[in-house]
Amino acid sequence: MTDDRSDDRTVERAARSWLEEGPTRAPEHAIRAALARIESTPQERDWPFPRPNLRAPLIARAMTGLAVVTAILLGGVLLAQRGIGPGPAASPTPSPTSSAIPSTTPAPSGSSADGGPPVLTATFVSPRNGYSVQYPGDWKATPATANWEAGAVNQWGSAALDELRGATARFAGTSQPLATGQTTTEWLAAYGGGSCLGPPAKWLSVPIGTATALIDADGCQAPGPPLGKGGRIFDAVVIAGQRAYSFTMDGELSHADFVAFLATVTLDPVTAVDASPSP
Amino acid sequence: MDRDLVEQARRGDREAFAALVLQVSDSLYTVAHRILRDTSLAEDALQNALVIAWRRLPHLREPDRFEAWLHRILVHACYDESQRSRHWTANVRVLPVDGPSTPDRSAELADRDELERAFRRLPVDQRAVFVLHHYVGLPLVEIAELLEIPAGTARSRLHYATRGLRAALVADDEPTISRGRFA
Repeated sequence: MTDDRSDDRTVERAARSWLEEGPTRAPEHAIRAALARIESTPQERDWPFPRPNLRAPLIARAMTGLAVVTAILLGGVLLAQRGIGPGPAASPTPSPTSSAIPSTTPAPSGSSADGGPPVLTATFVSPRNGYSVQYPGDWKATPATANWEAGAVNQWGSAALDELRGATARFAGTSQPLATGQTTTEWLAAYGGGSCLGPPAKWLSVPIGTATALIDADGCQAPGPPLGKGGRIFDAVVIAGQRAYSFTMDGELSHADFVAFLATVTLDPVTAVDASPSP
Repeated sequence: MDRDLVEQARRGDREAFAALVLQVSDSLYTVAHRILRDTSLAEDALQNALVIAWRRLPHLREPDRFEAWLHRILVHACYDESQRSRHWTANVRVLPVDGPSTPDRSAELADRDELERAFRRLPVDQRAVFVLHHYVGLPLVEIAELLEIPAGTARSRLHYATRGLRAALVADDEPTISRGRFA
């Protein structure tokens, strides 16, 4: 018993000394990325209902609870009717594409899974897909030369993808119009994504301008040969102006890097070459 | 912690919240890094914790408890990141060795490597209690309050973490755990 306690103290001393090692400052890029996310994140409203008074009669507490549940259900219905993203949801069935993009490769500087923050000094304006994004100046930009057709699944290198490639990470963007009558929910369900986060209800929301994008893959292992050391893949979709966008990154990058790229995206659906909805 | 800043941020003042972030981010990051043992995961945990804190700040009832409240959010963010990291291959850590080292130095590095590997094998909730106690220096009662768990649970997590480390060290390298090695 005494021996065990003595051993524990020995282990604790060693562990305390070991824990003292390691970084003592938060990386500036991580703080900046958090503040950038906060800039476009609304605060939740304070609980609008009185907190339960445990001294109140049971029936009164039950009535309060019922009111709260009713309000939440009504709110949920309203949100469901609005769908996600800006603009009305529209059309029939989809054809998504995807994100289960096999990776290969490599690329670049600018990203930072364990280094500095991505330095996004150049601007890529998609000539076909109706958006722009900032990226590291030393990356190579290859614009898409074909449309993302409904139902098609894009692989890295697909002509439907705008690709920005660095040495250890890369970015791909594409878009397609929602089909006539197709709702946002229908499109998302058809898209499916390369999600490692489960169904759309579990995807993470992140703002892109005034729209809300959904991250369906958040750092899961990239399929195929890993790009760089990490081989992580990220994928987000957003609907704006009857148009669905997909943005994918893989390689040596973190969630923060991906969000930093997304934060620079400007959606401009009317400039897409196939801006009119497909029949 | 500046209570006025917390109150302002609670009312939606982003600049006030940014000022608070600058005050607390080092502390949060170092704790996240100790728990997760991974730079990238710790950065993500820090960012997610700060965003969640901003979102939920209006619900904070006791501004004086801001820092403890924030650490609770951080620990939960670490739990989430730890889950996510299970999809990844093990992070191989290379110990720095500058030139020839003395036998004592080599043994010390070996012990630290064993600690690293043993610690990574612990459940993340045990790691969190261990770090909050031995690195942050919080007593178990405060840890229990911070994590909103019974004091007995905090105590048992610490106990099992210590036991896990000790057992792993013994199993990994019997000679290096002989009494007095760390003294």
